[in-house]
Amino acid sequence: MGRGGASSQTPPSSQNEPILSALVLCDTFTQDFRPLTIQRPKCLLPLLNVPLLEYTLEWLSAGGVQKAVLFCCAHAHQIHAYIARHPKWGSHFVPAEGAAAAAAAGDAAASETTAAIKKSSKTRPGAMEIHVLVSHACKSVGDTLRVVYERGTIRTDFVLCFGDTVANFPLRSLVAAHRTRVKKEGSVMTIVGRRVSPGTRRARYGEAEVQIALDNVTSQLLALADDDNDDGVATLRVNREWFEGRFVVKCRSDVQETQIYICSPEVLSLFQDNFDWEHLRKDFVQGMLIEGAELGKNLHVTLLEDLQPVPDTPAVPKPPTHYYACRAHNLRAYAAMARDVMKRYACEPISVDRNLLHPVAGTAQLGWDVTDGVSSTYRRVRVRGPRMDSYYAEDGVSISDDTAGGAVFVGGDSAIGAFVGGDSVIGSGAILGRGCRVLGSSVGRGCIVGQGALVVNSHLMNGCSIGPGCVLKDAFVSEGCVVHPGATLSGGVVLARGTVIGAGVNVPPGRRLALMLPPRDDADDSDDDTMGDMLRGRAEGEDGGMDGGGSTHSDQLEPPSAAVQAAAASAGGDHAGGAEILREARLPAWDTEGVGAGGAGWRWASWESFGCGSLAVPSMNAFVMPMPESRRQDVVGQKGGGGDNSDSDDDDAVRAGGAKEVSAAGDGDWPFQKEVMATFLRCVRERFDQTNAVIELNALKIAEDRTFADCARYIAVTLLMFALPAPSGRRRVEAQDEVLFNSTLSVEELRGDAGQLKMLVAKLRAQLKTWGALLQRFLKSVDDQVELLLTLEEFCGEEEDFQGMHGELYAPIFPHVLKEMYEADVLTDEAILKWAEEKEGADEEDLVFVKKCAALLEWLEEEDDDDDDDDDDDDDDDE
Amino acid sequence: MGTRAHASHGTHMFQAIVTYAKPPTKQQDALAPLLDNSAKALLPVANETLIAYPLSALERAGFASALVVVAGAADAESVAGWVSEKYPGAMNVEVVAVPEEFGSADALRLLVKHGRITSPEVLLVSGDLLTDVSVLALCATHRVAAAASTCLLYSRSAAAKPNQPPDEKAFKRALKAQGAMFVGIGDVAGTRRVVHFEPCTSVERELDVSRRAMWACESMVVRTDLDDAQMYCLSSAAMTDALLGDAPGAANISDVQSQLIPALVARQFDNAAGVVGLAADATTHEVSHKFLHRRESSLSSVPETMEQTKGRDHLLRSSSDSLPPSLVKGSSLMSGSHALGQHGGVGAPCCAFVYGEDAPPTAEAMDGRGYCQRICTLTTYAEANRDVTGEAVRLAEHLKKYVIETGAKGHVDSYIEDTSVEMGQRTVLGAGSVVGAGSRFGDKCSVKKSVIGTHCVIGNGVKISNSVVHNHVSIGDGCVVQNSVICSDVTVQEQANIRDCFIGASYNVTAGAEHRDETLSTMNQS
Repeated sequence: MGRGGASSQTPPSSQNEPILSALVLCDTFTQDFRPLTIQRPKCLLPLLNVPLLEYTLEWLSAGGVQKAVLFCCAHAHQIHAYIARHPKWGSHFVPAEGAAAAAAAGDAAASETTAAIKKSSKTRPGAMEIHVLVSHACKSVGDTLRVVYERGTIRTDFVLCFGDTVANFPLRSLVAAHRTRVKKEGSVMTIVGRRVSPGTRRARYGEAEVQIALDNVTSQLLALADDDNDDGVATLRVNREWFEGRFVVKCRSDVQETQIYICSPEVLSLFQDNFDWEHLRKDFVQGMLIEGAELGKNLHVTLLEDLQPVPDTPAVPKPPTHYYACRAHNLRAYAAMARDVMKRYACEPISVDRNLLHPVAGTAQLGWDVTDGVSSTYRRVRVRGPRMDSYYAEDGVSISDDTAGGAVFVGGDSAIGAFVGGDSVIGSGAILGRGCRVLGSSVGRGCIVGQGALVVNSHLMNGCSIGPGCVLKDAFVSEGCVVHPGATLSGGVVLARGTVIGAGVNVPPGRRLALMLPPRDDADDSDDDTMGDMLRGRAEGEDGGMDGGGSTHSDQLEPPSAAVQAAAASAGGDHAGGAEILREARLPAWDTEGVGAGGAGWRWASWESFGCGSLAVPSMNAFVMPMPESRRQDVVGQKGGGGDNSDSDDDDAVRAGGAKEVSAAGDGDWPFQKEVMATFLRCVRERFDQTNAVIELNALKIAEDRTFADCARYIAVTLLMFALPAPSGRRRVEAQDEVLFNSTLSVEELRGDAGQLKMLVAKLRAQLKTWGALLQRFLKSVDDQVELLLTLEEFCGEEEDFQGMHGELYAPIFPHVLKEMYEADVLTDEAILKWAEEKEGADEEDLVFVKKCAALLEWLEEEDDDDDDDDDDDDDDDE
Repeated sequence: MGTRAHASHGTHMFQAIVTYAKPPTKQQDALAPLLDNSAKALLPVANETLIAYPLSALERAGFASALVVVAGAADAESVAGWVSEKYPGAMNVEVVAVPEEFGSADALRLLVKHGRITSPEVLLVSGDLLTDVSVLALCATHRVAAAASTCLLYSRSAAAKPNQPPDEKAFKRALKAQGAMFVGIGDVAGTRRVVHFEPCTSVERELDVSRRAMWACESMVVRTDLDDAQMYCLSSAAMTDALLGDAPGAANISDVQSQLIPALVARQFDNAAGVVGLAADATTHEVSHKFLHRRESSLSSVPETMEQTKGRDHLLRSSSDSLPPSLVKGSSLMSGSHALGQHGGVGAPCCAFVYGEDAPPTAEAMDGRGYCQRICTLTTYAEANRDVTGEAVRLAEHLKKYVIETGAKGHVDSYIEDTSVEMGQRTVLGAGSVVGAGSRFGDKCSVKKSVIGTHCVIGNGVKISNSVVHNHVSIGDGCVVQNSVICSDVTVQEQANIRDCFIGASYNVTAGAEHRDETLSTMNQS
């Protein structure tokens, strides 16, 4: 136990280099994962059935770190116990001192195990020593580093990272480069970055925009801009002064901060000196950028892409083809990391079937305790079929694949004929029901997935139970949850331990549910203004700080026993009994909207960084640049908190967000019309063929719940508008679409000139040639066509919905327009005649257009008669 | 290969315009002492008028004609006189006068208004540029990217001392250099673009980098070691729109470098304007084909204007008529591939062409690095004279006709125009010296790395080094002239000692006078 203090005197390694330490922060002081992290620290949350911390430690150990210090705040006890019992790390475990010692001692079993392991196994030279450092008083990263400084745990260069990091890059070369820079350029910290385009970073990892400025030669960090307004938008200011020391400054918006830092010990003392520094980025980095120059201390950035791919240890047979690093700072990043590992994007040595990691997940209560000391035993199984598909199955899962058309999965002794694919990960003892499909998901040990259930991009923890016919998309289901048959969980639903979902319930997207009550509002309102930054400290960390009446520092946050009983009752089908138990315990009723009848769980607010933190697949909107400068200033004034920042892209926003846009009074049908126009214009601009255009427009129709005729009306109007100058004022289209319109002639020119009007007809003919068939697709009946005719009337009369579109130019040639449409088979004679018929007896002013068409109508009638005659003739012939 | 094919036809799409418009206010007096009597275009550089250099560059690139724009009627007249009498090249050169106070963009606007811009693309060359860049490569880059503008940039630092790491002072000097720009370059959809273009002088604390630009190119570099050679390819349509369009401030654009180019650069990421540029470009594709034929049929580009502009109008109209399919040729490439990352499409690009980095310099270029130099200050004037007789001698077509005396190790020693030059006894012409016709030297003179004009009279024992002496200058016995420029008709009386000076035309340096680091002209003499 006394080794912690002595470590500073550890003799340097044979290369005469100071030992390399790592400080792993096991508390992130954020709340993005709530309520999953109430009962356990985030670093023990399984990613593909392996705790996140395992990935971090394995990487550090492979990178030559000799001493890893796990800094724990909340749930320190669990981390302590986890490491102590761990077959690999436990043997080099140096238990916590001081405050944590008591907690450690409380877990006698753990101590004994440790002792036993220590006695039995010889300490391998060069193996990573693990220290656990506990301090409950810390409220931010800054506090943490000050504690580390005060206790003198780390006195050499160290790697600073979080306990939820997945990485595979070699540390040694990076550290060596850092040490050179320390001497040459006064560097105190190397920030490790990864190249990810800004759109992807936002959409895939749910990160705010970050822009950095670097010296082109030395990679010295000159500036780092992040989202100052919590709207995900950053503005880099390029300073003239920088050019007094260099010719070239590189500005990048494609660097993802991995939040892995190579630090000189000085970093600790700098935090000590600046006792008010809390956040690494906001305080330390910005502080150093301002004051560092005077002190001669600089920060540098290294991109993983720039590292030479040299394996750290010759023992690794296949060095990774590229390097990967990411941390689970929110659920979307968690899902992305799971995909990255499953799809082997985060390649060797962390692929699932390499079995490097220990799947020590779950808790004693649920029967999935520490493993017997072996790594996981996954195999990769190719799915036979047209597509290259595969999944990973753990030992103890029996598989037979003698049926064509997909894998047949037999878990335990039931179920045959489940389809598993999309690189899913299946833990041992999982039972997959007949006809169920599991795609791109992880299924924990002992999970039960009922017959016919669909599980897509979801994460099922050990021992949860999914009833037959359930649909899970982008969902997270914790240990011991029960989802009754036929329920639907989609759009990022998160269930914490023990939650029960009633049969057939459609859980609202994004709902987070737990068997514990969320903290009262006043408990941690104090800091919700600073939620944007993962590194921002806060009074109550993610993992700690339940307002449990003095139990703040207790690791054992358990749900109220009554709730557990009630949930058990619900899970067993006795919902009424469960409700009764709740009442007796004076607990509030379940969130019935979320869990449904027969479910159990309370609702937790889901806080998501600028709408990008959910498990669910992001909307296309997220790829779009957050907000253009020009608009920003206009909007900032009106904006309340800074949530929805993407009105820069109206059409996308509306498509994605459904019918959010409330039409202003007097706007008539304009919002929808605008949508149709925008969509159609996009199809024209990007030269979609008709099939794709139909798909696009159909999607819009469904999203807005409209009729085919509604779409057709506005498409037709748009076609007519092409020959006219681009609409102005409120009807203005996107600037990029303006070129699609006829810009060479003004309205006046067109108005005056009969020849020009003829030209309009000719142009319309050309348009109909291209898009007539599309219109036909959307005009399903004669009534639809009549609808269209009425619309055309309104358009040419420039009535309410069509003001400013110059439709009146068509008024004089209205009959010609109809004729063209008739010729193009968009309108049938039947429809035109029906239209005229309907108008009969209307007011004089409503008859303007019908009258104009008198000649056409007459002609059509004749035609019609002729047809009839013909038909008659035919009939006659037949007879 | 594709590029080369483009290039071989490239110049047909281009209309070359050499401009001697008024430089922006701060720069205009820099050459003043040298321009007492003559137009800038006629300033001698290594005994050849300045205008001959850009014209010969254009001719080398295969241009058949060029328009020379000169500010001020008097200057224009003298330039026109030079063209008709002394222009040695084969191009069809026409001189157009614009009002004296007109900047380069004003001049362009005027040309547009008068229908003188007849090609889909314009190659605008600052009249004071000496370069051996492959104009074809520049034009090809422009065409391939369907760009609104393409700027020729060259690295100042590389030209200085490649092996020596630049020091603090060099950085600061770069910031303060005349015409220094913050140039932001980034890759967008595969083209190397200028994404930021801002004069250093107009930046007090922070650069005004557009967020759209940052978003679009993900990674960009902002450099201060690049100089703008002021040779631009401009899409006529984009230029017309920028100068005469209804964008706010369009009418106030007076200078190309400091106003027009920044405007075009900004438009790339500004949807409203950017797409106009694109559409315009789509039309120019069509226009250009039509013109190619016309161009070839009528070589004289001058009198056809009326008819052509009419034709173009018609084309513009018809091209926007044929709607969905024919539209947006180049643009779909550009906006399509980036549709995910960007909000909507991207405007027509402003390309960067960094000489020596983007294209290999011409084969004969020294040190594997091209030559680019604008004569806009007294210093650059002196440097250019030295360079043209030294490392950049390939630019000086006229020197090929000179009598070349070869020195000891086979190095070219000196150029003497013809036999009318009289040399005194034991007078030595050192490396890189040029002497114009009819000049006479006394005995025991020494001339090193200097240019002596025509009909100069140099006394006995005169030492001239690193200097430029214009025509009809007389220098008395025993004078020493170092690092100086002496304009025409100056009299330097005997035993004068001149170092680091610029002496305006007709100045009289008294006997035995010592001048150090001075600018002397008749104005301050009287």
